[in-house]
Amino acid sequence: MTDARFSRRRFLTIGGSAALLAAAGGLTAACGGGGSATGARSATAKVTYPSYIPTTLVKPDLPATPDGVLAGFYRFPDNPVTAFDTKPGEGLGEISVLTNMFNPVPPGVNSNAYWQQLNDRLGATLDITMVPEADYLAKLSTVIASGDLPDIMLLSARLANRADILTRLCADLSGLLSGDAVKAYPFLANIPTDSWATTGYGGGIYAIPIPRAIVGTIMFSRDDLIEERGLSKELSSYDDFLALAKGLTDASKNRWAFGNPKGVIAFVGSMLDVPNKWRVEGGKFVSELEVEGRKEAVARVAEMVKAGLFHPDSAGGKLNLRDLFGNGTIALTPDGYAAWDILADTYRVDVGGLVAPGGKHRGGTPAFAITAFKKADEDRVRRLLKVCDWLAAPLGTSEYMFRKFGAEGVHYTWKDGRPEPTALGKAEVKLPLEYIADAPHVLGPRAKERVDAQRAFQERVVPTVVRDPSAALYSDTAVNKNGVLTKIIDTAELDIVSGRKPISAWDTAVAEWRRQGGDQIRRDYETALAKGN
Amino acid sequence: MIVRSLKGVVLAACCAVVILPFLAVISTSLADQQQVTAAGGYVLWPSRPNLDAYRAILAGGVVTRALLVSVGITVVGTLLSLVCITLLAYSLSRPGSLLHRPILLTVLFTLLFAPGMIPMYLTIKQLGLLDSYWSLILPGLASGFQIIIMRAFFQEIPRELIDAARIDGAGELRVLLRIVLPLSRAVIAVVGLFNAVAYWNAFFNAMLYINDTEKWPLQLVLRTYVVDNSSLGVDAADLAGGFMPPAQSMQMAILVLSLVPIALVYPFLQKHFAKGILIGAVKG
Repeated sequence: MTDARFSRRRFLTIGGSAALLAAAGGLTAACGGGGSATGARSATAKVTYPSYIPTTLVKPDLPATPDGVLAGFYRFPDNPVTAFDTKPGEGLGEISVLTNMFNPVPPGVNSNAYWQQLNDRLGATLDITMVPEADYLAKLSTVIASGDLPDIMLLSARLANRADILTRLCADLSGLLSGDAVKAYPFLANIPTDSWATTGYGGGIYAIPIPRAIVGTIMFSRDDLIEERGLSKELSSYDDFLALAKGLTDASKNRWAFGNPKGVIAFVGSMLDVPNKWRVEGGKFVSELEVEGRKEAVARVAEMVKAGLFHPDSAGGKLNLRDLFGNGTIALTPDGYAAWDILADTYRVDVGGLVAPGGKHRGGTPAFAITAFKKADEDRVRRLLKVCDWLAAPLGTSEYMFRKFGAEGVHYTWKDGRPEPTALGKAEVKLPLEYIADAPHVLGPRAKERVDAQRAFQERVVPTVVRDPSAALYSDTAVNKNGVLTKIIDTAELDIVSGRKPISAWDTAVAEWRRQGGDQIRRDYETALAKGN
Repeated sequence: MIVRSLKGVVLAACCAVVILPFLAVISTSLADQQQVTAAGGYVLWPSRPNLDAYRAILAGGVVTRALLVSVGITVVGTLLSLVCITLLAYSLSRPGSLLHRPILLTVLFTLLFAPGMIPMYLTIKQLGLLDSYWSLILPGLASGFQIIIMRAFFQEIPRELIDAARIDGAGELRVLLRIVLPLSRAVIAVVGLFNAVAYWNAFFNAMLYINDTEKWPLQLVLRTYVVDNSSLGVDAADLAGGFMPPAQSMQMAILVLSLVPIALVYPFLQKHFAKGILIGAVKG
């Protein structure tokens, strides 16, 4: 999803980059030269990230682990704790926010009781400019170029010249968040260190993350279909995986193992020790595309396509994979970790996760994006952070319940131990607050069996997670040329797996990838890492 | 007889090719999740039709409000566009009018260079039009292409008619209103339709210039359903597990809703539409 979304808008990113830089310069002057450009955009090693201090305010049924296994809840905690005894935004007046949204647009503040009550609870007027996710980067680039920055803005990982924008235009939060200073914001301190990686530049912290779990993508399996056919999902080798896929395929009944070659390449790659984007060997970066395992993964998937284990339309990339998974047309599908509940709830089928043989799991991106703040006096920034702290209050607090479900009796009622939105709740409680600041995700609250299954999966794979060593580093080329480079590789993969080209075409594509920007990205990262050291 | 039957079969097949997608869209919009899942995306005939998707979209008044905004922008925008384009095209169709050549060249220049996204935004901002409905109307008020089409049409009108009117004592405005416009219904209809469709479909400018969601036109509101439901991922995880109508049926309901108004207008203008396109094709 992420790749497609960003590549569609790449032209805007590149087209706008010059203007963004110009705007950056102009604004710096306007701000009185407050933020000096750092030159070393990615010297992040000197950053002291905020300490990770898991909150003790709420006790989950299964606590989160330091390496990134999510906390689990079997039910909504009784009697939510009220974490704030004062209004966090008192004295701020109006807070302008620019963020994206995935939900349908909610009613405006004048006709939205939930929004009005939110303002009341915050003690400030939250003026949210919300933009559909697909258009967000265009809007963000334009607003930044115009110099009319909002108080709080969500910055996408694919925003061109992000380092310049952060260091020149945005408030330096280091003094307020580094190390134990974050204790002043207990729910920001509750965000694991992994998620903070992209917030640091030039020795400073310039944003807070919207946290996501390190587990990332899961190869979901229809466990009911696997059981029905007497197959096993315990894989000890690639051959086991192949046997499972063959056992799940029955073209005469319109049933196939897979619908998406790209996700399967990544899964097979993790069996073959393929790095997560990059691997560092003695200070040198090696791309996942350059290792033999990745090439072999493409070749193996091409064999599987040839053997008829993929849906006939899988090469088109337009399949509605979730529906096909739900109706049993395909039995294995890679998807984000949160899809576990969506798939199980929507289609009422047994969903499980497949663990790749070989003991490695490719980690996900531990932050959806980052939230930065317009330069202002320290007291205002401190208060804005307090508002974000309020917005990051976790499950089990009354702040969380209001944020997610609104006011009890008005926007939701309790049904079988779960909040059931009222008609008003469905219409009004759709503000994209989780893209301003959010608590780390948790497993559940759901039935114990579901949460236990998810937890067991995470406990198995998270200790073996292969993290992306470039996550905390920044490269202009990686951002600005993302679309071109992704297309080179995607096209080559598709050509090979669909049988249009032999596997030898892979080497040509990787050479092209290196020439068009891959080598430059490597140099950027190596320089950044060296400077940090 | 065989030939006739064959023709019938071919025509029926052609009709099916046109009708089936519409049927699938309407049927899917009326289907529930089980049927959408079973069909793998599109339902050809809903066995248990319901209006849940429409109810969900229309709840909260956001869509109905946006509908009114869109109608307002389309009507006002189209009328103003027609006035501007007609006046400009008429004056440019008459040789010897004031600043004829520079104005014509300026119009032609706009066909070659479109303003960029950021310069447009800065202009709108400096004019104080951000968050104003006028930001959705004024930038597209007079399209150079349509001015050229209309000018070409006006030039086709026999000069003798206009001269006769002048001899009878008519001034320029009277000539335009009484002689030229009644003869130009076809081109006015087609330019009007072009503009109406453009105003109706526009969402990107609203996304850039309008921050207040209460002022969003229908297409932008609907975009939040169509685009984002199709990319449900990690970020769409809903802890509440609250009921959401199936994404696919909701998207199809949105398609139906956004198509209906323009589909209602189209038949009345369709005959002029084809004619208008030809005008532009033979003389520019």
